Amino acid sequence: MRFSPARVLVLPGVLLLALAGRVHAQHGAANGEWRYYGGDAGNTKYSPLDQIDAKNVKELEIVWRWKADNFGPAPDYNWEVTPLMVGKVLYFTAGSRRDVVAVDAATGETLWMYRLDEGERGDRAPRKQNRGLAYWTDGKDDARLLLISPGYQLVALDAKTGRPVPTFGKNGIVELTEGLDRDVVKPGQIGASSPAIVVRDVVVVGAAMIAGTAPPSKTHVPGYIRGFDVRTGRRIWTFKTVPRPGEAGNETWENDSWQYTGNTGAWAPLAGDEELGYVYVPVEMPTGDFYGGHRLGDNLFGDSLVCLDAKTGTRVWHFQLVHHDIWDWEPSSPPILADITVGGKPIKAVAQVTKHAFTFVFDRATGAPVWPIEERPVPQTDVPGERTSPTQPFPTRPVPYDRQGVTTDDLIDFTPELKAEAVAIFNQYKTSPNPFLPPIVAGTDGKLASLWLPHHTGGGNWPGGAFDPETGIMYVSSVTNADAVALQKGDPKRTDMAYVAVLGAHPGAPAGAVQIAAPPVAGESAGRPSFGPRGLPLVRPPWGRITAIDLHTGDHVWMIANGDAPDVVKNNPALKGLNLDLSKSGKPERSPLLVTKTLLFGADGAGLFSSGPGAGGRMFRAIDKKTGAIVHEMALPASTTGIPMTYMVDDRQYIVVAVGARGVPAELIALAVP
Amino acid sequence: MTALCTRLAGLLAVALTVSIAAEATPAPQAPAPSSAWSGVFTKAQVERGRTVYNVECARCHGETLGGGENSPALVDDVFFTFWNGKAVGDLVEYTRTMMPSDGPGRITRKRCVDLAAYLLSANGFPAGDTELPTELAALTQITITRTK
Repeated sequence: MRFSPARVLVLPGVLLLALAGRVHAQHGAANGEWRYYGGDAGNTKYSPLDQIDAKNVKELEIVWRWKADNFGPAPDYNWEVTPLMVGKVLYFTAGSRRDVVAVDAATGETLWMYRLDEGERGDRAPRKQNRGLAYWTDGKDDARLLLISPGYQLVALDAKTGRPVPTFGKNGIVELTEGLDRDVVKPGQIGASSPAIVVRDVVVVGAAMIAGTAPPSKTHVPGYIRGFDVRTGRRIWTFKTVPRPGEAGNETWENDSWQYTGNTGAWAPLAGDEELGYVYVPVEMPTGDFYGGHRLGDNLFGDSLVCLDAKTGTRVWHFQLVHHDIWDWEPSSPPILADITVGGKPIKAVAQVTKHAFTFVFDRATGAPVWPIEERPVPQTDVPGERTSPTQPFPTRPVPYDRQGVTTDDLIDFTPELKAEAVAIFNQYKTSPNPFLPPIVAGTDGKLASLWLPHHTGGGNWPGGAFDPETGIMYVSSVTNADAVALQKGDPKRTDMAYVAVLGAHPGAPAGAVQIAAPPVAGESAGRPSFGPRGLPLVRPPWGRITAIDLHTGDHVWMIANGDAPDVVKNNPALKGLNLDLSKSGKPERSPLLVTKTLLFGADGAGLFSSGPGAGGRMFRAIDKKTGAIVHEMALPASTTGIPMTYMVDDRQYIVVAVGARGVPAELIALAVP
Repeated sequence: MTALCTRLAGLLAVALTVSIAAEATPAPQAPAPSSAWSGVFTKAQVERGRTVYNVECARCHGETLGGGENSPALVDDVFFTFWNGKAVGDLVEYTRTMMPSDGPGRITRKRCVDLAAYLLSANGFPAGDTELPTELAALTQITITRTK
């Protein structure tokens, strides 16, 4: 479709509203705009625009740049934002203070900005990265932007002026730390990194905390999901992700652990279905990422995809993706709403991709799995005080989109010598072909740690996937990067947890896999060294990939590497003279994905967080949707740090993406053909 | 020593050589060598360092300095793996030039000195009556050792 603004302008208002009503979540970004973080409320990241196509994409050029250097007290380098575009204006958050900015979508000219200085609560925010905003309009004169501040306040701004809406909360602001069943919520304990979502005039808010590798306590704030009236800011409902006595799921928290356990927020973007009136919430894990001895039981609704009635907060259905999580394998990707046809039967589905490389697909109205999900036996823990679930859910279709579990067959094998060294390293760890290998106490049976693939940051992660509603193909990006996790006794001076985790480092043998950032080089990624042989990755490539999955059938259609090997591998002395073809080895980072009528767009990715050695890069790619062939690639000024979005203004299609790199402050890049 | 450890040591050595060489102008008076165990920072400095840590470091290295998703612990074995035998000046300059890892160089040396006091305190070193100085020449004379 080639969108013509003039054609819409002549439509009567009533017809416009009717059209708006038919814009279903799963149909992509409508009317040449981009009104949701994920393109539409269903996170398809799809736009039917087609001006940029396979024929002219080689002419793509930078048409404007918007620099974020001076937004926030220090430059932001890892800007995970995706702007919204409504009515020729881009809206986004910028800088570590999450200032809200409006710019002209055709020129990049700044129109207004909003800055909220939150003092200590902002300074100590658990997550300062920002992904963007939610937008709402009554279809008449009232148009609002909803911001979740770093210090966890909900702010409603007038989209036209950037000024707080005085009738919303207190002068435009709603306090989010209230109503969490804790007498005191200290600065830094709770925040958010993803935007809210508005469904049926209700703003639904999730939460994010500091990672629980070595938490100071088993006691934490619960990240309840809340719904607020978008007009007044009044809190309408609270969904308690750690249920209280008498509520369903409370029995899955043994020894009254529901009283003190926290986390269980939803830090990934949420999804919504305006037609059904439902919101889809990927709930994170409970307190203590790798030790659950203080919260025995399945721990509902941790690690669950939960469907709530947006008007009431009532739970419609849920599915727990990981029981009693001690792998940090919470759902970290936005749920994707997809209308599919399976065996001739139309299904309104929701697909949840995960860190551990599964795609869970459900009927989003009922929660019924589209394909059977089997409870299969998994390895059991021997850590004192811990008790693992005897089984875990395994979807039978689609098959995993990345490797799960590690055997010697997975190890790097460029030469027999490198393979032998990799096996020697591998043998220092406890391993399993089953992904659900529990962490061990460091040194148990002479092993340094448990070796995981995917490890605790995945597999997949917040960039998630994209879905083409016309073809039913979902595209997912993931990394293949093993890592080691062990437990050690909690030091009573620092924590009341019986055990905390050490990632890669182990008492008595700390050098084997200690993680440390590489020296800073401006413009290059911040990947950390590998602990495989001679500084190479331990496992075979590809180290980053994009997988196309047909959600009508559950079949994989194609898989491509995310570019070539990182420089840290290509320049490794151990590979000199081997003449290896590393062109399809893949950057160990998740490619941000955007899909249009004509092309799939991807990129090397940021390489600044939760990624492997040498991750990230400047290449931006147009990919053939049917085959995975690279149609065009071009270097941007820095690494892509956000998910690209696209829109049409004055008959010109733009693609806008955030870029940055270590030492290269963040900016937005707008691309278009001449 | 594993290949990785060698590599890390090399990286550290390069970084430290660069930073120390940059400061290698002749000092009027060479400070006397001392041990980090001899009360080289104050409690007030530790508290300032804690404030800096909570704002700049805790998101990645954890509230208890126990490490995070992609960041090492800053206490106990991991701390001493890197810093045993090194100078406080090395720790300060590493922090100043390498951290935060996505955009290093924005924490001033004075704040890095306060951070070093906090890290030393968290690793069992005692506070004393005088603050850690901010002059690099003096800081490089103070040695971190795991045992007294």
